[in-house]
Amino acid sequence: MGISFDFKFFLSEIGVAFTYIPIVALLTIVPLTVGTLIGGGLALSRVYKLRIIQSAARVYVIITRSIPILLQMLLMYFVIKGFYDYFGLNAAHLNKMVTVLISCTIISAGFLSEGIRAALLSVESGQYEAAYSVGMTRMQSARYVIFPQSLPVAIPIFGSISIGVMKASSAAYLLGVVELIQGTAMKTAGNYKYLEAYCAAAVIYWALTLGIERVIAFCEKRVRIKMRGGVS
Amino acid sequence: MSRFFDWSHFQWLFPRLLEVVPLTLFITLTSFAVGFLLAVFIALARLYRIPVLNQIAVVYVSFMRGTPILIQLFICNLALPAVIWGITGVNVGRIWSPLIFVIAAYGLNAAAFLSEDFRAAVSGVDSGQQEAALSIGMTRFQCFRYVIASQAVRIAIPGFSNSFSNLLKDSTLAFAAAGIMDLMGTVQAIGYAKYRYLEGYVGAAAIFFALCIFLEFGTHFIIRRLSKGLSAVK
Repeated sequence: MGISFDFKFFLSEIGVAFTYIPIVALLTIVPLTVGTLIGGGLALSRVYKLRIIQSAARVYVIITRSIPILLQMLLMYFVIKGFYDYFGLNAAHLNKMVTVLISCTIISAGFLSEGIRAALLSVESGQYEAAYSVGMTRMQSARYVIFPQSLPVAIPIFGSISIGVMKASSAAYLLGVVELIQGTAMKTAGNYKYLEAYCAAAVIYWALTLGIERVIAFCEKRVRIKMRGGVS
Repeated sequence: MSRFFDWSHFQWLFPRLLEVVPLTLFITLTSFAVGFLLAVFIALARLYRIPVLNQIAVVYVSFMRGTPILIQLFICNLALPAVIWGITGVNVGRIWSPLIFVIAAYGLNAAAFLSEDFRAAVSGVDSGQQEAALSIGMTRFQCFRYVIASQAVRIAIPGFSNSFSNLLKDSTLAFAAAGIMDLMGTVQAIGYAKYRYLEGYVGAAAIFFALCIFLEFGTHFIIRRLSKGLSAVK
């Protein structure tokens, strides 16, 4: 006996995997949006060298980037469970999806902060000085001078990080969250056609990645056109 | 209610975790080596635009970078033994250690990422360098060996280090996919036995943290060594 591949079942699994795209989207978009806010703050604190926050941001980034996502999810689960026990709540009500969302957010904030910092530092220092010299405050210089110029560098980085977050969210499967892999694997109950199920999940993930790449390429093009229309 | 974090259990457990670190490092290093060899071929096929191979490489890299490593592990564990069974007629899934399929999966994954690192590094070398080398009568191979590759190494190191640390962190999934008793496997097994999980996770997190920091310092050191004398030339 060699390899056996039930193509019909594979196609039906693709249909199943398709219905789980909203969950993947939730597990990607929420961490990315909240992560961008936190990561952006951390990056700004480092670029503008705010005293205590700067070193805290550094420690945060090192820790979140060097611990595997699965471990962070499991640790987060226990931390939240500890809170539940401490306040006398029933840990059975603990929503694993929320745990996964929180740890994905924490991780993506770490990665995004490094990405945003790289983008902010790609703007030459003369621009910061020029903004100050015309009397702008820190916030104004960031908003009107630095951010727009850092976009061409920031967008591709953001794209690769969002693909990374989407792929990392699949580790939620190991915590028992019903997401794309779990959803397709569940349908194999009784027939053991796991290979077809996993292949279907892989195809959908691949399609999603290619989709994100398309969107990012489109944004890059738009930004480049905007930049060319500017004064420079 | 038991204690949230049992310090004495942690002290008992931590040496046991340190014992299995070599296995985790072995998985990471062998898959990195496998991936490295494959990546050279993929990168060369793409850089020199070898027909057919180039297109296959593009699809391969896109797939490997576009799907989660967890699925790749699952698929490799199911499909590789079956494919070998189909070709050779030997059911290797029963004879070979599952470690081999895990390393194959990680190696195939790392190959895609490393090939992109290679490509970025080689494209990062100024094209004038190649023209200069060819103009003084070097062959294409000599040019690559003495001019391009030696400059590309310095650009490639940070990418390699990044891919290596990703591989190291991804190795936590080997237990879930194939039941390998590496760091994560031991943590889970002790957790099942003692019904205490948090200490194991904290211990494993500390070990991964230490390994990543060590890797980062090592990379810094190597880059500093390779960049020595570079500013003098400029």
